Amino acid sequence: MDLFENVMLLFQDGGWKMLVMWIIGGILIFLAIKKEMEPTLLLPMGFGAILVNLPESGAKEVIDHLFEIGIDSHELFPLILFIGIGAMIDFEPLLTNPKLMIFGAAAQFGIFFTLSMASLFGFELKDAASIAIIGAADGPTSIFVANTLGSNYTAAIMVAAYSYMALVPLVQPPIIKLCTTKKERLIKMQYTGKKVSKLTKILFPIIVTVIVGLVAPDAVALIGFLMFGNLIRECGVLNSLSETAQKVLANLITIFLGITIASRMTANEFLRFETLLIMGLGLIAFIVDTFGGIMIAKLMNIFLPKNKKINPMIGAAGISAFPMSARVVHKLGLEEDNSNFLLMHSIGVNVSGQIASVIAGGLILSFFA
Amino acid sequence: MKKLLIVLSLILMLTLMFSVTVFAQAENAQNSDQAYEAEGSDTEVNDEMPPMKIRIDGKAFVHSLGLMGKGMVGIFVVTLVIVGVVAILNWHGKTLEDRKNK
Repeated sequence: MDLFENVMLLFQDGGWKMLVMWIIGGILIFLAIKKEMEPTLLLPMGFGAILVNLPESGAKEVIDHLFEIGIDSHELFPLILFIGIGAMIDFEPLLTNPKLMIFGAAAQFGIFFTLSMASLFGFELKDAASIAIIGAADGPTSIFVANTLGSNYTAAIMVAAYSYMALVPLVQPPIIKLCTTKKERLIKMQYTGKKVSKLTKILFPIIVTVIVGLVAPDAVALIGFLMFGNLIRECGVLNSLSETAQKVLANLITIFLGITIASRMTANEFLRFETLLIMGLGLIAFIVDTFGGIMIAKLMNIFLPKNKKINPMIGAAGISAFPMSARVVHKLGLEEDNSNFLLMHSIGVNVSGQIASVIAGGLILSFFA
Repeated sequence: MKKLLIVLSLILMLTLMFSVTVFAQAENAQNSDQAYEAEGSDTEVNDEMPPMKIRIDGKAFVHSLGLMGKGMVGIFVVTLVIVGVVAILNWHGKTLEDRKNK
């Protein structure tokens, strides 16, 4: 009879919730494998969701421990992952045209807009801020901010952040088309392909760390680890470390991060009405981010001479979500005119969005931490 | 242009809706604050967090609007400083290259 005791638990009070979590876990695994949506994270998260929602699950304790050391204690996993991400990013398209950074800044509008919306709906300000950071379109930043602020909705925020990042190719195109005219989408931009000196590439990560560290000291861990990864890449004498950071380190942490997040996906914590609300607010954040980036490009076009107009679509890449967002913009440009190559411009905006989203995270932390 | 007008009017409509709600709620919140102050704060403190009730919170919204402004100004200031520094670095790099070419 003892053998079936746990099976019977599923049919007792609240047991159905575990079954629902299995279905959610299954859906995440399906999206990861069949639709290839952020498989590196959605698959471990989906499997982890099933693992922690088995009655009397023995794995829960182990995964909880991973959460304690990897996320709860100084957010180690997201920070180490940032070293890998920093090593992957080439800032050259941004450095050749630094004004692209303005789009990255404007595209963080969704974060602050969602902060207002979430607080309007009655979330505590620290929860509202954690929900808003979904708009950073950057998983590690979302985890870092939500955990530092001690949000009660960390799991829902992480799932929303990663799901919407995967959904960028579905979410952004209709918004971009709605906010731009065909004439604007056809604007061609010249890419000069200017060379950037090695000194600039080396000094850039150091200077950004110092500037952001002075303005938003709470974000210095995030920006510092990101820029440290980039410095390893650009210094030219640590190629093997750079490769390790980009591949082995990033992959290793990603495996643990996904399954660790699942520790907060227990039925009682996850199956709440607020989770749905958070998913909705996350979507609003992504939409308003896209809108903000496009609008600033339109505003700049008013003042720019006719031959130097900016294709406003590239503003949408400021959402971060590196590199999906840049690819989406490039693809939309080609759809309108197959000789309109926007990739280098949108990549420049996209990496600036990565920096701006960390700055936004730091500012949010400095307001509430 | 037509689409832009649609988007702008949607935003305007939403803002109007929220403003009406916010003012109504801010008034309610003020009334309840006064009631709380009159009652005193001797109520028992419960350590367990009660389940969140979804309600329109005008006061927090107004506060968060201030943070929105502060946040966006902060991001733009930091960004412009970084843009300026990069522009200087690029100019310096170009100058060095020109000197080498001479």
